[in-house]
Amino acid sequence: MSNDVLVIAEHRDGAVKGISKESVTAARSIAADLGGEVISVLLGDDTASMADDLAAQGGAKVLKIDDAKLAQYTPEAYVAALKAVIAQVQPKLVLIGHSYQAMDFFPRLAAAHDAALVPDVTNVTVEEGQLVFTRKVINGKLDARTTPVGESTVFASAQQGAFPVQGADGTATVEDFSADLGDVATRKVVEIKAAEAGEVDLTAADVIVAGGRGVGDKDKFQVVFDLADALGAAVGASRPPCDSEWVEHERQIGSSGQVVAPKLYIALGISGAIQHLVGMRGANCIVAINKDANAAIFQEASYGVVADLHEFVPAMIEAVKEARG
Amino acid sequence: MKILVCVKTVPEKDARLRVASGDEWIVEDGLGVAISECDRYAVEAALRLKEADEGEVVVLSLGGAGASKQIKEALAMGCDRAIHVTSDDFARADALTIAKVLAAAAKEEAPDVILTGQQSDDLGYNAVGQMMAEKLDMAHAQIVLTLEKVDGGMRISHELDNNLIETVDLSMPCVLGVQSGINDVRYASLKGIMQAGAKPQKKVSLDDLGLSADDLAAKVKVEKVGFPVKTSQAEMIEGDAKDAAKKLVEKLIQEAKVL
Repeated sequence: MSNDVLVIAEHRDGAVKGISKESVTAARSIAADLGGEVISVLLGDDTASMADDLAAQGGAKVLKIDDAKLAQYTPEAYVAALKAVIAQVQPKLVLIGHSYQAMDFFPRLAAAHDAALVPDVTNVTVEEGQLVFTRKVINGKLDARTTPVGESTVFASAQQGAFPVQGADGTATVEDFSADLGDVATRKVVEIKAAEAGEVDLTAADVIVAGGRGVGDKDKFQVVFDLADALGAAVGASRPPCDSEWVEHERQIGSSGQVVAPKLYIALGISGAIQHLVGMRGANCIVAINKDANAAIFQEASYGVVADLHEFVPAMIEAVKEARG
Repeated sequence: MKILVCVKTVPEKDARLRVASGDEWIVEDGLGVAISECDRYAVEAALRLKEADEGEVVVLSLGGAGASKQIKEALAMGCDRAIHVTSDDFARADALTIAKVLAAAAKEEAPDVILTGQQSDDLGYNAVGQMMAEKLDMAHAQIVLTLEKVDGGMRISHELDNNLIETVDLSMPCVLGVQSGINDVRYASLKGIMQAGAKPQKKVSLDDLGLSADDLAAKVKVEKVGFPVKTSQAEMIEGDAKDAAKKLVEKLIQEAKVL
């Protein structure tokens, strides 16, 4: 086995995904600590220009696999092609961004190698030659120091946003890699379409007040609208209020909903699951109100208040009215 | 159609967590527990599949004695019988080890469809169903939103990327990882609760499943857990509701200049 890090790069609409560039950045630092190289792999049927873009992210090598069977994503063809790459590269670590598509096939790839899988990691270090990962457990409330056992190839996925892209000091070379996918039976893809856009567009809002599970129930969710009214803000929500139909699904902010970047984001009773955080981290100023002082949302906030939101919000509405005269 | 649905008992969402001495894991004694959120939707999806066709729904759970209550809850919701793989050793287990145990238990049942929640609330791997599928050589899809039986298999739709939904046809048997919020999860009826106690519950040990120590050797170890070291500069605002609200609004106007 080498000390190399193999990055599986994903693409959509003819462009390398941002999360894959983050993975290359992470891999460069890990490979430097391991004393190995970064090799990225790109799967598709027309990857030449994307391979150049990926090569500009650094690392030693980009392997591109162009095959008609890879024109459209299927886990069957992806796993088969990547098995061939892993057999040749013999990497110490296989790294991918923790995207939905990655979660569709990547655990299967790890299981096919009977290997260690460490999903959704927020940090990676190398201690005495060994990989050490940090990942969130128990609804994101705790950090877990997680280490692979044994010496075989380790599979890990990197949390979106955990490894911001850093410019490369060099360009990787691009090489063709051919994998024999002749016998691979792929599933039938019926269609791929964008989720129906709702009528609520939160992406243009300057101020958003969002409610989470901690708001309590559908009636109590009115308090979120009340504060939004007082501030002239839009109303959003994390997943649980939408699932429970306290508010419309189109108000959902996060990885399955809208991605917003307002000037001010006020999170009421939102614990801070990563699926929500990826949708609102871009806000300039984040205020978190939560009765659990350990809620993960406080890690993201500029200002935090540990309080019962149903006591705090009415007081805040009064304070806003007073301040605005 | 035989449907197997995997259910995990996890700490309740708002449970007060304490880290055990030695930092190895959380204190589990006295901790409120519940069925992991996505798994509830998987149970509902399983019951609906049965109702649209026919057959039986078998609930499969791996956990200690404490998991019995959640298994009974799934039975009260309408599952026909249960298999409880009893072990206390999997609280911090890695995804592959859990998948191997569940796959071994599933294999004996030879189901047409296996449903899991896409991710557990505790370890949050988002991987066990996929790994079961690999070990059982079945088709699989993750983050499933809709599922229906069609001629020769299952037609499912699932989230493949931000706001991108793919519809695919899978051959059966298959494993499906269900997203939360995809259906209205039923409450157990009084009748269901009364009947649950009489439904068959099979307790199975790891030995019964024929799993060797080698099969169950951990691939990944959780060495330590802890509350995150604060990395942001979050300014915590203290005081009673009125004082804190006033201070916060002042800061948003004067300091952050966002109001």
